Amino acid sequence: MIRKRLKHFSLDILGSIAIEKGIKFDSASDKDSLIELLLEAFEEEQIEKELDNNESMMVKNIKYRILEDEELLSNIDEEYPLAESYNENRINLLLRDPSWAFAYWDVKENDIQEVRDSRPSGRLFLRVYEIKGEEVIISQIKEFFDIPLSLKDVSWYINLPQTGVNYCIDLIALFRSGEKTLARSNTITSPEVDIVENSKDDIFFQPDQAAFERFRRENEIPQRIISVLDNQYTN
Amino acid sequence: MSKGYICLVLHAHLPFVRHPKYEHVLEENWLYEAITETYLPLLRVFQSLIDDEIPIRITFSVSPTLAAMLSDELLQERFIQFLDSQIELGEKEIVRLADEPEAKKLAESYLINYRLNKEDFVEKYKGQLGKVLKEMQKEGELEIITTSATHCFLPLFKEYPRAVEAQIETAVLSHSRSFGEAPKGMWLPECGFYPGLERYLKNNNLEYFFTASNGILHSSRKAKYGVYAPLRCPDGIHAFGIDLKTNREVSSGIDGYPTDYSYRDFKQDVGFELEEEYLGPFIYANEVRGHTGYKYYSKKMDGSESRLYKPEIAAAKAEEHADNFIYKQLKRVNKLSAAMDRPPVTVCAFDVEMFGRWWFEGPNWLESVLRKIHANNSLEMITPVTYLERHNDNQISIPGFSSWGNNGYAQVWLNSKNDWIYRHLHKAIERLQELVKRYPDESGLKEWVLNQAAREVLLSQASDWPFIMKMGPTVPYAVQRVREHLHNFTKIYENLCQNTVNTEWVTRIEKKNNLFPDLDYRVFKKKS
Repeated sequence: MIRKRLKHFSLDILGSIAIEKGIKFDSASDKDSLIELLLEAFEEEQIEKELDNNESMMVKNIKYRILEDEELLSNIDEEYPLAESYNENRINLLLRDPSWAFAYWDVKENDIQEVRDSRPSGRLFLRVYEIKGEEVIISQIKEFFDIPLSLKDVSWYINLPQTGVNYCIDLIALFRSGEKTLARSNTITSPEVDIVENSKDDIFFQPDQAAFERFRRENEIPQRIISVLDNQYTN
Repeated sequence: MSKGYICLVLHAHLPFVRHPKYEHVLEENWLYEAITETYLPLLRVFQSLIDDEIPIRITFSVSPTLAAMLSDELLQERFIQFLDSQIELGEKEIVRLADEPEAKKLAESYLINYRLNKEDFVEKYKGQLGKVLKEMQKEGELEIITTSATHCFLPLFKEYPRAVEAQIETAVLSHSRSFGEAPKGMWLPECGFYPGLERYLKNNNLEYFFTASNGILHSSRKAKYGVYAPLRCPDGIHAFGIDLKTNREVSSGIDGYPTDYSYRDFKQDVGFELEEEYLGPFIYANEVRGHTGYKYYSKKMDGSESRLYKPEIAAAKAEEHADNFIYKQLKRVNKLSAAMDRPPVTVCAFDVEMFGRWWFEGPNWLESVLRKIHANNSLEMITPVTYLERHNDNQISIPGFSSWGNNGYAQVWLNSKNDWIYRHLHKAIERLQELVKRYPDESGLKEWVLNQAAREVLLSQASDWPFIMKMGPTVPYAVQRVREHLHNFTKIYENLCQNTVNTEWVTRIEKKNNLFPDLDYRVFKKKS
């Protein structure tokens, strides 16, 4: 089906679809070769998407499947353009999972120009702080590291070194005149990945022995409970 | 008392898709296919159980956007046209398959189903599926809950608490309008939770919500009963955790029940095989083909030939899978109940569209499970409200940041395919709040425009769009929708900054995006 649809498109449109999908191809390719390349890329993309999916996401994905293949439309951007920049200094930090956060920022045009004018030393970078509380003050900073940026960068995925820790980011410009913090992000907390232990409430540390004996007589005891009991008696 | 409870949650949601300007837009088929393959068959299952006095006690989440579409007259009319196309195709199929008696028998059974769908939808329900659910809730058969207004993945809006509350408040108001009473519970979109969110839910008088299993397991204090009892947050709202193991056993795409080879294959549809001229309305613009519902083959093993679907074998398998489900639940309950001071509750939650649309035999399986549970003294179907009436002394703890997406966090809705949207979505919230501050007490024309601005901001936040951008299939449509709503909002914002209003244009977009008629833009007002 998708092959038949691709055959309708001109070589130019096939080329622009390949570019949009990030597929590298020889500019001298003929239509059939380009179609094969695209089909291979679509199939790989689909396999990659499906491999990642847990059962809930797989079911959800099927909900939206009303076609056999993906719509191949181009130039959709033309109708509803969005601002490339809001011409302000700001940085936002979003927590994605315990190990990764996403930062996006915007920089005023004047400041971008000043960085350019300050070359070769002029540059932009992110300073990622690990902080004890909510505020970035000297006494609260535990660690920090810098991420150099190019002027074209507008976002970054940041690997969070620790879990259960607060992070905040400064967007900093290095001008000829010195360093300037253009914007400071919100603070995020990387979630814990271990189960919090609170043995006082934990029934497996203080099991109802009578209930277990009764259960043992009536049924097979699950392995996990036995190993916890064994640990308790041997420690 | 039962040894164990089953809390079955069916979550029904579709994003708001309505294009009055066009005769047909492909994405409207999401709604039509869901109604014809899932909602109507499930309502027949529920009615059959009610007729036999078998309690249902399912928790049914209906998103505000879906409720709005179900009650929309234009979409109801278009659905009937869709059904007519299915019926017409069925009549042609019976002629085409005259020399293939087994396939013809299948086509006849589908035709009977689609005719029954039309009869139920038009005559019995008068197009008002929401009202049918409302009646079933009134009779105590279902507990209907809500989700956020446009199914927004709330953790990615954590820094905009007023926007999060706006999603919740709007949902509660919309639900009350649709179902005649405020919801007691909320299905968090994608089970997306972060510590602190519970306060906003409680502020809106919700009594419980559902969260992913890793949210419970990584809660602030170790959940002593795991996901088999709810947690009580300090402010009194309860969190029920989904049992990942049961969910996986039922719905896994690798070895869950729907993958059995005797079940009908979702993909092999005549819509992708037969001549375009024959298929008529099932061929859309740009020669795009869609599902017709006429599927004649069982699930295909890799490298094997297609086998004709045998409904009687599939029905027997559904019965077997229902027995298997009960067996596994009993085994689990027997182990757990010895270690707990109350019957364990197993929360099984699914997107409802799995039943019927993807897993054709799913409604039969569900009916069989409910009948078997009723006949079994050890298991009992329960809703969260009933559970909390019986067991109100629950462990105090707050779930951790979590979702039921891949890897348990925000990865599906925040990745290289869709991360570009958030700077614009967040900016739109900030600008809307700026408008609310500038116009705190408008009435008349300006209030009307501001309400539409709020509507566009809410619509831009639907989690469906970043999901589709990541997973497909209709990526260009998802991109277009986000851009369209942001563009609409920005245009209103810029006009108001210049103190102008283009009433003709706002009327046009309001007529198209006509949900939440009671929406008040002040719902985005920052609290001091």
